[in-house]
Amino acid sequence: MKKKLSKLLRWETMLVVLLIVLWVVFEARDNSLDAALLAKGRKAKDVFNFTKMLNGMGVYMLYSFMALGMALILGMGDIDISVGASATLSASVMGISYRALINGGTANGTAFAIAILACLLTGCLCGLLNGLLVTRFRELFPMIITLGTQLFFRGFCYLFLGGETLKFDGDATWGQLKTLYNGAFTVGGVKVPTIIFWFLGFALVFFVFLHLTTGGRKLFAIGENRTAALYSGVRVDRFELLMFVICGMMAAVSSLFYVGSASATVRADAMTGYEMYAIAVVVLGGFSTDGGKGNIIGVILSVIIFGVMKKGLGTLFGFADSTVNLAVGLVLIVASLLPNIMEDISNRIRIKRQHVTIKASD
Amino acid sequence: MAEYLLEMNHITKIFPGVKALDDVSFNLKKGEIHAIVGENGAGKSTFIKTLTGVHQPDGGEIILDGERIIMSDPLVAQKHGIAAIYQHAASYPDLSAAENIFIGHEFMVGPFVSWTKANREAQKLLDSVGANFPATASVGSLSVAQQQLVEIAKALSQNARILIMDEPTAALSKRESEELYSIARKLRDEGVAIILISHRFEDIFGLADRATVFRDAHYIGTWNIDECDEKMLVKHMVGHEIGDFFPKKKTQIGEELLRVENLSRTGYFRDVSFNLHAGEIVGLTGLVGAGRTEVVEAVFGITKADSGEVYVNGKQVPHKRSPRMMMDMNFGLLPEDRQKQGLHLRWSINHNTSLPVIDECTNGIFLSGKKEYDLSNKMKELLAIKAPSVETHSGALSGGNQQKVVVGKQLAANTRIIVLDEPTKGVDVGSKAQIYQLMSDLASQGMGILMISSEMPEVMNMSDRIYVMSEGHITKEFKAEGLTQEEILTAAMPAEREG
Repeated sequence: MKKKLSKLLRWETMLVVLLIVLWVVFEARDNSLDAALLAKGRKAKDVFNFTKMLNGMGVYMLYSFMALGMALILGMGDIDISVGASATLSASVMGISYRALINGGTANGTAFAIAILACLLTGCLCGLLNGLLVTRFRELFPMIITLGTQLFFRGFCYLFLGGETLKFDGDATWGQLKTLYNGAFTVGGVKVPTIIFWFLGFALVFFVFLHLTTGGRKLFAIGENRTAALYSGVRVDRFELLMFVICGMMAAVSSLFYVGSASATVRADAMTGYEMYAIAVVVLGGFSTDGGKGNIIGVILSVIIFGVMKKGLGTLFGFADSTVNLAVGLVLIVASLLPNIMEDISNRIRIKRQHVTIKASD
Repeated sequence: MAEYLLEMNHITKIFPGVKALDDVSFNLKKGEIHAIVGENGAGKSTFIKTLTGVHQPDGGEIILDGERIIMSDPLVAQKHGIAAIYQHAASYPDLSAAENIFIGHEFMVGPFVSWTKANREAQKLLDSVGANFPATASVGSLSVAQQQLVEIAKALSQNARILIMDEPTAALSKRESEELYSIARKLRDEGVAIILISHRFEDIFGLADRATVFRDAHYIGTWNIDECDEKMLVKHMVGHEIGDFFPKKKTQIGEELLRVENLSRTGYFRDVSFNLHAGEIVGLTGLVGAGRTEVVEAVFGITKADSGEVYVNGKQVPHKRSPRMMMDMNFGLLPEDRQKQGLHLRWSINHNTSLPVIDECTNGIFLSGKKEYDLSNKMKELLAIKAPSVETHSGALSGGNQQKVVVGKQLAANTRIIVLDEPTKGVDVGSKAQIYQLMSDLASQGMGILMISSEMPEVMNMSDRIYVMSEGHITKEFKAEGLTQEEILTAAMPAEREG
């Protein structure tokens, strides 16, 4: 049992180490910047510390909900690159249905509730379409299928909204979306954004599902060997379809927070490329695109790491956000290659040892 | 010139937790065929992989032509003229035979590949091994035997001095095997040294000059083939003598458990009808490709039959059925390819065993580790699975023990009707006897067993009744008593090739 635990935590341990290293580097940079300021007789800014990091975390978590859904998909060895577009479509449907209901004379509260349901339902439908296509057409790669649906969903967004930006200025009910993103609790004197609680809540549900129930076992069984799972009585198609639906729903959940972050406005070109962040977070978290392995704890850690990296590189080293992506990409590549590199090194050592023993005996 | 072309002395290879080779030695003369025999898990594959540079040994030395060599990667082995052909030819099915042969060492004219020359040279090589197809044929369109000729030609194109043949006849018919034998002999006479790995005694006695036995990662001994007989080799492989190889008990045949009526699937099989009773072992045999596996896959709900009915315990099963539905009716299928279809190789025995009944291993909504452990420990004990614990990865087990895990999965699901598709394929002699014993025990407990098999001895000795399939339909049903092999083979032959 003990051995199993250590195995499970190995990747997660590495992520913790990475987080600590980043933190130490950023802290040191922050201190040296402050020292420079003080030397010039100005006040220290202290831009990087725990409280500030926690406060500013929200913006880096917009895709974290998508990432939880994506974890299910990658765990099965599939991929869904349509989630960014699904999210925007869900938000568009929400905005349009809200406007239609308000114009039709429905009370604001009722209209808002219906609009949110419509948003979630749209996400589910997007996932359903993906799932149906993936399970019915096994000869096509999920990557290609969801590339198609991505364009399809995005096309619908433009069809509904065109270049228009949907906004409901002065509508307090609709404005609640802003609070969803801006809201914060005070825990022990520290202001913590609400979005963190939402994320941890969802992550807990996903953790339980993936690691403590039979559903998770079936999911990894499919990812590890789909054929053997089928022969073992797992209803593969049905299960996979359901997971795609959940993934679509999580995209819709992400879109609620995104709309909140964008001053409660909806645009057809919103959240472009978010699927890539979601995939990146999940892969760094220890899920393999081959399926069969991964842990939600790793995903949580990697969401934090991405946030810290973006914040640190941006505010402390003054890189533009687009340049920061370069570093994020680099970390991702190194992290995915690490297991292979380790194996290669151990092989080299073995060969070297052999040469040495031969030399010694000659 | 040294006496031996190749000497491998005191080779040791340790994988995490397992000693795969323990002080193993082997030598090979120029122009001989040397068989390596042993049960699955004895270390044959690992040994070959240390020779071909896939694995690095942790101890010992490899001496080629009197010179010490380190096989640091497969390319080094290739440069020294060591080539291997495997039972599943690792070729590129969409490329032509010539392209497959010269891949990696093409004839270049400036920056371009000269396919004219490649085709010509490939044809020469193919002719020299007696191939009857053009070098331009795409490999995917060739039969398994022909694909092996391509592999041999490829080895020759690299000037192989040592040719390793790993289970070369596993997928070949008797006639194709004979042809392969004569090619192997021809190569030997031309001075190529051949290492032969095979489970088939016909191969070993028909071909080899010497035989070396491995057992449990140890070297047991080397003998000239004329000093050996089958019984003696088996004794060395297993470590003790095998008593009753086919322990078929007479059992009380009970009620009908399974009836299949006029099952058809266009292009695969047609009008297939058979039944199975409690306590009965029924053999379903025929040539490879006769449609046997396809029939049981349609019964099990992996594929969909076009027409026909299936009755389990007298109850009609819906046409739209799934493996889950069949398993809930206590119908289990042990698939043909246990590594791809039967097991999650990177999973423990424990997780493999519990998967078919995972929904029952719970406390409320949560997985119950204890229930899983109890179940898999029970199966491990019942089936005598050889492993340190149920936490062992199933991929680390020998073929026979892997098969037992797959059987364990069926038994965990309370199966009463069990279909075994080639249950002893790639399984060593000792485990075979254990699997036969197990089948006999299960039948005497009232289970119905349908065994698909191409191996005549097990079909004839284990079955109560035998169905023979040929070209997608059942040609004959036999009572096993007093049956001869010729009667079965005649029924199995495709109609137009008869006589």
